[in-house]
Order: sequence, then C-alpha cells, then structure tokens
Amino acid sequence: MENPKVLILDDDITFLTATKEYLVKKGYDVVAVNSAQDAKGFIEAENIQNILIDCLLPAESGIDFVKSLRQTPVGKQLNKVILTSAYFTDPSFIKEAFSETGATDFLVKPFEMEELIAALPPAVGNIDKVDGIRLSRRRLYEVFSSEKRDPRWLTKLLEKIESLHGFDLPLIYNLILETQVSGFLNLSSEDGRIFGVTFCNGKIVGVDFDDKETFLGKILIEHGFISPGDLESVLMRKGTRKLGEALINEYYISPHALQIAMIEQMGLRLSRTIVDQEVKLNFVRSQIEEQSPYITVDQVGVYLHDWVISKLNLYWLRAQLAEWKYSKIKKHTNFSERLKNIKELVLFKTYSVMFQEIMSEKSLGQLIEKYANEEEVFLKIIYFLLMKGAIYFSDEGGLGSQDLATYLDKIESGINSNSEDKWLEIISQALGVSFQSKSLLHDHFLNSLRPFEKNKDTQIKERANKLMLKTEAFFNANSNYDAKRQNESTPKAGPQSKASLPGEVNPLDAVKIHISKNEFDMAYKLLNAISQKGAPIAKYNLYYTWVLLGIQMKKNPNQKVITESNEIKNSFMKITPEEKYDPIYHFLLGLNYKMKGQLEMALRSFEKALALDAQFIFARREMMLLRGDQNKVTPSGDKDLKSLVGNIFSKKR
Amino acid sequence: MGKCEIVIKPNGERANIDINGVIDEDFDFTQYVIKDYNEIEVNLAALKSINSCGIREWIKWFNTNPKGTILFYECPKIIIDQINMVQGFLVSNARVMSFFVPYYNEDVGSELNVLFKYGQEFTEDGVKPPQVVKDDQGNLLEMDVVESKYFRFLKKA
Repeated sequence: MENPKVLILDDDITFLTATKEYLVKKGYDVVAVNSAQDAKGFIEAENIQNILIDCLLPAESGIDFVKSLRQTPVGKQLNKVILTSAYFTDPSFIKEAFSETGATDFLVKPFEMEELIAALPPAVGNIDKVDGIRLSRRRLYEVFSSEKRDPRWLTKLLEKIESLHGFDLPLIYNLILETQVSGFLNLSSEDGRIFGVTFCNGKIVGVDFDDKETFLGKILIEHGFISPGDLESVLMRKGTRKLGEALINEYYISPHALQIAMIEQMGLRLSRTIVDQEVKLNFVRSQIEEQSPYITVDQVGVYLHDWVISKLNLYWLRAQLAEWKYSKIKKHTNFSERLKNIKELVLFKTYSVMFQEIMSEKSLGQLIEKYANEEEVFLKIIYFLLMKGAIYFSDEGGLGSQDLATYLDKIESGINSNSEDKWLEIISQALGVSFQSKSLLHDHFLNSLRPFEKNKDTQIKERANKLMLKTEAFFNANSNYDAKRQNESTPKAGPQSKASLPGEVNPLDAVKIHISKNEFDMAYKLLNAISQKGAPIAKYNLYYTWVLLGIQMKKNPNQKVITESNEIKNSFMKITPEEKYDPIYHFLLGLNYKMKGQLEMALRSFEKALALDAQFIFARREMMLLRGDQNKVTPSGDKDLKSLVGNIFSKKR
Repeated sequence: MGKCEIVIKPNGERANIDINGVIDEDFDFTQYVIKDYNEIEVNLAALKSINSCGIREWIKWFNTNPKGTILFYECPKIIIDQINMVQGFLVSNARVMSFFVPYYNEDVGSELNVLFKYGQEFTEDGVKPPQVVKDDQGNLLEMDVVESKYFRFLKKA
C-alpha cells in the first residue's frame, strides 16, 4: 500500500514548506508548488488525487483552478479537495466554494495541522495517529533535551497536552519547578476528581487533593512531637482554630515541629496526585505569594523515587518503554546536576551496579535481557532517570533490521494463520508479556512498532505499517478506550486502590485469617491469586510484606539474626508513602528489625505501631515477647486511638 | 493566596454579577445567594486566576441555581480552559456569550486578547475569527491557542 499523494498549491512559500515537511513526516507523499500551471502538470503526470489549494492565488483563484481541473479526466478522479483561505471566510463564500468545486473540506487559516490530517485520507501506518496520551508522552520525554526553558515555552507545552497518565505528572512537576514559573496546575482525573498543585518560583507551596483523610495528627504522633492523649485533648478544645495553630498556642509543639509535619503532609498529598489514570491538566499562571511550608525540586526528587518504586507496576512500565527497546540510553549534558544526592536513595544504594550499567550506553532491550530476573527494578530505575531528565533514548538503535524483521515474522505468521480470538495471546507472546489488559497490550504493541518508523529499510517499515493497520480495528473493536481502561483488570498499585465498601467482601480478609494462624504459605498463595486478578486493593503491599517476613522467620525459627532477602527489600520499597502512616507499616519495620537482630529498633517500631493503634494485637504481642514481661507493656491509651484520630481528622461532608 | 470579589447587582428577577480577582480556597461563595434569579449575567473580565479548590466551589455555587439562565460574558482564557477540561464547569443552564482569544506576535513578543462575541465571531455553526489582528504598532498577530482544543467547548454546546 502506497502513501497517499497530496499536492499543495499556495503562493505562501513559508506555508508550503512547513506544511510539506509536516505531511511528509506523517507519511504522505507530497508535492508542493506555487503555480497553478505546475500544479496541473503534476496532478496529471502523477495522478494525484488529493489537493490542498489556497483560494487566493496570484494568477487565478484557487476556486477557478479546481473548477477547470474538474473538467479534465484526472479532475474527475479527485478524492480529497481541500480549500484554504485566510481572507475568504464568510460562510456564504465557503458554501458557494463547496458547491462550485465539490470540495471535501475548507480550512480557515491559520488552522491546526491535526485538522488537515483529519481532512486527508489516512497515511499508511500513521503511527502518530494515536490517542493523545501516547503522543503527549513522546513529547514529554523529549522535552528535557530542549534548551529553551522560558515561561512562555512551558505554557505552550502544557497547552498542547490533551491528557497524560498520572504516572507522568512528576515530569510536569519537575518542569514547572525548573522553569520557576508561578501559578496553579489544575488537574482533572478520569474518575471526575479535581485537584491541583500550586507553584511559586521553583517551589511547590500548596497541594489540593480533595479527600477526607488528613495526616497531620498521625505525622505529629509518628514523629513523637505529641502523644495521642495530648492530641486528643487539643482536638476537643480547639474550636474553629486550625489544629496546628492550637497546638502551638497551647505550647504542645514548636512552630518548627509543625513546619516539619506540614511539609510531610504536603508530600503525602502530592503523592496522592500520582494516580493510575488519565489526567487532564491546565496551568494558570498567576502571582503567588512566597509562603511556607514548601517543597523544593530536590525534595520532589526524593518523592519521585518513592512514587516510582511504590506506584508503578511492571506491566505499565513495559508498555510505556517498549517504544525505546532498541534505542541506546544516553546521559543528558547536565546529568550530574540532575542526579546529585541520588546515592542516598534506597533504589540506588541497593542497585548501584545496575545503575552503572545503565550508563554504559547499551540499548534498553539489551539491558532488559541482562536484568531479566530483576526487570521490574531495572525499569523503575530507568523511569526514575527519565522523569528526572537525566537520560534520554537515542535514535541510534542497538538492534538492526534483522532483529526487527524477526520480530515482525513472529507476529505476522501468528496473526495470518490464526483467527482473531487468538491474536491477544499471539501478540502477548511476541512481546514476551503476560496478557493483563487489552488497552495496555495495545499501548505496548504500538510502542513496540515505533522503532520501525525510523528504520531505513522501507520493506520493514511497510510491513510494520500493514501490521499496525491490520490490528488497529481489532484492538478498537467494541471498545471505548476510556470505558475499557476503567473496567479491565489492570494491575494497579498504590493508594488509588480503593478500600472495600461496607458490605463488600475484602479479598484480604482471608489473608488476615491465615496470618493470624501463622499460615504464611497459604496467605502467600492467596495474595498471588489476588494479584493475578489485577484489581487494586488497599494495603495489599503491607500484607504482602508481612507474609514474606512471616515466611522468612518461620523458615529460620532458631536463628537469632536472619538476613533480609531481596524479595523483602523490594516489597518494602513498594509500600506507598501514604501506607507508611498505617500502624501495620511500623509493625512490619519492627518485625524486620527483629529478624535482623536489632531488638532496640524493633521495640521502638512496635511502640510506634501501638501509638497509632493501641488495639493492634500483633504489635502488642511482639512487644511482650521482646520485653518478656506483660506488665511492662503500656499502650498509649485505652481507646481505639486510630479510629478516634481518624474520625476527628475526617473532613465534614 | 489572592483575593476575590463578587459584586451582585439585582434587577428584579435578574442579576448582573461581576467576579473579580482570584478564586481559590480562601474564597467563600456561599455568602452570595443566587438561587432565586431567573437570569444571571456574569461578567468575568476582571477574573485573574482560579485554582482547583476554586473550580470545585464554582461548580457547586452555580449549581445552586439549576433553573435560571446563566450567561457568561468576557470569559478570560483561564475560564475557557476550565470549561474545556472539567465536566460540569459550564453548568447545563449556562452559555458563553463572549470570550477572549489570545493573539501573539512571535517576532516582537506583543500580545493581545481579542473578544469573540456570539453572533459575530462565533455562532452555533462555528468560529469566524477576524481576518487581521494587529497590535498598536501595526504588527500582525496570530491566534495563540491550539484551536482544536480551545474552541472545543463550542462544539459541546
């Protein structure tokens, strides 16, 4: 199948050049001329069926040109006739133009190139003709190589983004922070939530996430700034005063302590904005007063690390990075500046060798092969470096046409010799992934074909284009993408997973029962089964870590010191920032310290767990075992503090 | 944060409302009651900014009058952006009667906001921008928005 041919006739050379360049990139075969005589010659000689004509030409009007062309044999075979004009925009003129020329479209200049593409027949294998998220992500990733970074550049960039995935928001935050623009970033997610982030001269000074939970009390208790009992009494007395103000006025905490807690709360709220959904955004530039607390770009870097570890999952990462599988990984020129202080981050301390290897300018695919057993961690490191703008994917491929041809052979032969009901399986196998969701697989598949558009071998390119077209209808069949993304069981991690509604059976209930009976192997199997279903579940990572610790300790009952396994380390890393305020998290830390023989640290962690939930039996039991004396256990209060604090902090409807 | 001011000028069953300044979490819409008016004309020319809190409060406030007709005049770009992004920001009984479109000259950096009015620069059939836009120095300005995105709300209406 050949690329559609298009002839552009316009006396504006700038317009001619720019439009031709754009259409060629989109896969069209373009002839650009500025004289009607030349245009007629080309149309006849090359049987061009699609024309873009300006109405106002020097010698004869574009309308007269088309009218006379229509009298010729080639004129009768024209497909798309698109008229343009910057001046003749009156509806009655346009109506007459349609009638006299049989035009298929009339574009008023200046028009968006997308409007032109929509008016033309689709180019064969127009890989860019995909939804806004994929196109936007490509632009986002390339943005760090741009030298131009002024406020207008940023504003225009953000305007061009239709929507993006919530996991890409850290890149937007970094961009705004680095450009030092002030204003409100307003966000709207697929599920109808409206939230936002306020920026002021390179700092985040406000995060608005409209939910009922606040963390201030928990944070203050967790840091040891205040006891639960004192907090409770202030809450009873504070009236209309803000909690922080009341605590300071009554000398329970210092302004510095409040500052620390508020920064942490802001970080938690920021973490909640990283949702596993499509998000729309706009940026309202505005004068914003300098204020504290605030979050700096360095602090966002630390949060970014936590988000990448805990929120992203392997399937999503694979799908998004598939496009660059054959590209070499390269450092940006200000690589060191962007990555100062990362050696303190857990991911880099634990996987420093992997990090060094990433800098060796191999292709992404080669490194994925090398780290096949730790692919998830590896891809998370890659994504973190990408979000920080420290690396980019070069057009230099690490694999050649032969490898691309082999990949195509695999899919083509499977698709050509099987019915559509087998295609999902065939494509999943060719990609080397297990099937999770149709839309995610489609993302992955399209991204895997992107390298082909840069390949010089035209046969390879054409094969890829045909394959893409053949499967496009299949993937889009009976589907509204937004609806499908919400309904399909895609594994999602993190806080956007919803807790069970009253009356709903929580899949983790059975897990909890097994844990209470020390049946960690059964609990482990159950958790894996839950994960296969893909439905997001609150606290999944907490219980998973608990079970791993249980299994490890049960295997080594007489050992006083047990080495922490990599699986446990990774599991801890996946606990989201919000989950770290759950008493279970502190309990798990306690178990981990206990396992490693650090008993003093273990005790402190169990105490923290009890401070957040005085009725947490497991923490109480562990403390008793460690102290060896039931009477020495002094819980922080008799009431169910967690529910009390939670209720008090819940925002009123 | 910034300040917002609402001025309501009642006129029997109708009202003219000016919203000026910044709509953020510090502003309380509930002190202004609009539920009883049959027609409200809202002028937004002096509205400077709105954040996510403001967006939520805006939607709640205008929904307190689900039966009256609400007409928005001189909508700045920041409001058009929210109309395009947020489902329900333009409540079902509301219409945009005029809005600003930014124009820009890349070479000299001059900007101008051009008011598009219903019946002139736009109708139900589409947008008819002015043929030529110039700044005070006579420099030609181009439309400074992504048209397919900016004018989308007109297709929804």
